[in-house]
Amino acid sequence: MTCKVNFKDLSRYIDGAQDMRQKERIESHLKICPDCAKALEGLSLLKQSLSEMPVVKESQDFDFAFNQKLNERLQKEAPVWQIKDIFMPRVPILVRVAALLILSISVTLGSYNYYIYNQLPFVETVSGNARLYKADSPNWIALAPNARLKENDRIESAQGTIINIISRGKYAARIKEASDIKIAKLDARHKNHFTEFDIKYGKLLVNTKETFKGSTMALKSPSCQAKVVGTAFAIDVDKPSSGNTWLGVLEGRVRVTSQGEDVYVDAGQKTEVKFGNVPDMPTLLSDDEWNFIQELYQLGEKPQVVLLVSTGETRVDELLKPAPLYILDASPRTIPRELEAIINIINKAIERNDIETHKFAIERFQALIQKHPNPKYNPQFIMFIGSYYYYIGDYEKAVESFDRVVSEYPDYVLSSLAQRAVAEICKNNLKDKNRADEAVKKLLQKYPDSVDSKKFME
Amino acid sequence: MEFLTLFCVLLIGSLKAKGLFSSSDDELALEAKNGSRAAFDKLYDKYKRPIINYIYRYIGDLSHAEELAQEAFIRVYTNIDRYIEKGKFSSWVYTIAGNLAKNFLRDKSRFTEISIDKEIQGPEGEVSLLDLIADKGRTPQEETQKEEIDKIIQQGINKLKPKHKEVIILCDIQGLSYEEAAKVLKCPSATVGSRLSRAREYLAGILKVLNKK
Repeated sequence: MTCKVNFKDLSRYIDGAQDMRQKERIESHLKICPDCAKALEGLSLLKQSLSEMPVVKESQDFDFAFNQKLNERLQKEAPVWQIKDIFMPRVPILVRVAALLILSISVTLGSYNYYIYNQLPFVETVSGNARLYKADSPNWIALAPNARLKENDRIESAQGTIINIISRGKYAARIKEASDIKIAKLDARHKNHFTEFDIKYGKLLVNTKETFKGSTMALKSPSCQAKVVGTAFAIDVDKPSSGNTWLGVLEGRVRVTSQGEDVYVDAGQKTEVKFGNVPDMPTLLSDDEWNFIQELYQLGEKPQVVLLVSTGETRVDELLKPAPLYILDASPRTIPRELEAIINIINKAIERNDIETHKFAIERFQALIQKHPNPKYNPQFIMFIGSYYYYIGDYEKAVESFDRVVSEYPDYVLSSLAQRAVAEICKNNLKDKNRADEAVKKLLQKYPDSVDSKKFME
Repeated sequence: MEFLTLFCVLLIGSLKAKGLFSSSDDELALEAKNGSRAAFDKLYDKYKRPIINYIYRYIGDLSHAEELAQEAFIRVYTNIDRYIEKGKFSSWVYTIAGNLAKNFLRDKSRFTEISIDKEIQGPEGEVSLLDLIADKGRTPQEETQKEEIDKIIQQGINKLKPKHKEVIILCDIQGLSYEEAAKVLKCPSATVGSRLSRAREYLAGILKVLNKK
């Protein structure tokens, strides 16, 4: 600007940061200088547009992830006792010996108690409002992270609350929504634990770990009892008025008993038990139920990359959506951080349905697989890339990826699904009947017993 | 007189207990320093969204902004015992968040990345941002247009120098006064004014919203 009013004057003027005299000087100048008046108009519009920029909301799992990270950090930074602190150098030798003797007796007794204490399940995070009835106090207190849970303790949570509970080396559990759950029995003194949850109403998700083997978990609801031996499942008990129970299983098997009748619910199945009735025969999980139960993949610490498709016949549709990809990794990390970043981009892109970001992510993903080949996860990644290409409409590349899974990893658990995807895409999208028939033939020859062959067998 | 003071203290105490009298940031920070998780949670709830937005506007990437905001609150929690400056809790949080965002961009710039950002231009190429802003609200595609403007402005902010970026986000987007921004940026408020003017000039230049004389 060449006139006596400069940009800084205008900037301070629109902020009202000048005294009356300067303000009047600028206002009189603006009346005679159309350039400055125009610049002021542009500046005001810019300021207004900046002030109107939308406030972004945090993602739904922001608080949960924050609490988890904070707890991890606090556990890492817990103070460490050093042995030299105990040896009190200026105290006479006899007193030191006596003190050490007393200390060693207390340590022996204390460490046993500490061992028992450490075996108790504890509250990892609480997001929302919940209270805990301590049977040994006995009174209600606000449920807070790190609370140890003992036999006869009872948790009541409000609508929208999520509580994560960890039993070291045994299981991870999540109490959701409005729930009233009591730990009716708990024996954690031995290698194999016994836990019984009494669920008055509410939702409970449990993911047992590999070291759970030998331990027992029993569940009691107003309408049924269930016994769990190494599995991942969810249970949903209606309010006391009905007491009906729904139970779905993601991995393993759960035995459900009511009115003297047992049913076994396997992976991908559910059962419902109405109050006073025998359990329904297990049936496959519906899409909505599948969405609910997939949350189990977020629980626990198993290092794995999970391509989330159900075990039902419709899973090819789920794959071609594309299906979400979850990473669960323990320390030390075996999955490169870059991958985690890419997965985040992908999951957000799926959520927002943004094709440009998808294309960007797919290129980064391809490059990463080449840079860090990982035989354990590669087939899942290639499957995922295949479904991605399908999603963005590049059907040839999608078929190429699924073909690659079948030829390079024929024994992979989802290879039959990959072969079926080839058949479906050739038929429906590429309209190439010959290739589709060939793919079906290959599917029936290679994977005759798979769930994917079932439809074509009929 | 003493009776009156005692009465006031009791009254405020009972109101606080009922949640009717909200504590100041400073009081909450001191309670958090004494080990109250509930006090920390209140501060976290109050500041999480402003901090996510501050970092998001600074680095232009929402997923990383959330991670950095989480890290900022972890640092607040683990260093709360070092918090001694009365009345400066908000500037302390913003400073931590700003430093994390700066470090993130610095680390990121060490790697060559394929950028998905396109050259800055309006949706129809020929139309200037000024026209778009001026037209906003008159067209039937108001929402789409608003999103487009926000995207273009964000791309412009991404191109600013850190010191200009932080002042424009704090003052023009988050609405902090010169004095409040000065506390965060640890500089005199006159410096905030001149830095803000320079930042606006650069941004206006990048976005071509001014017709130069």
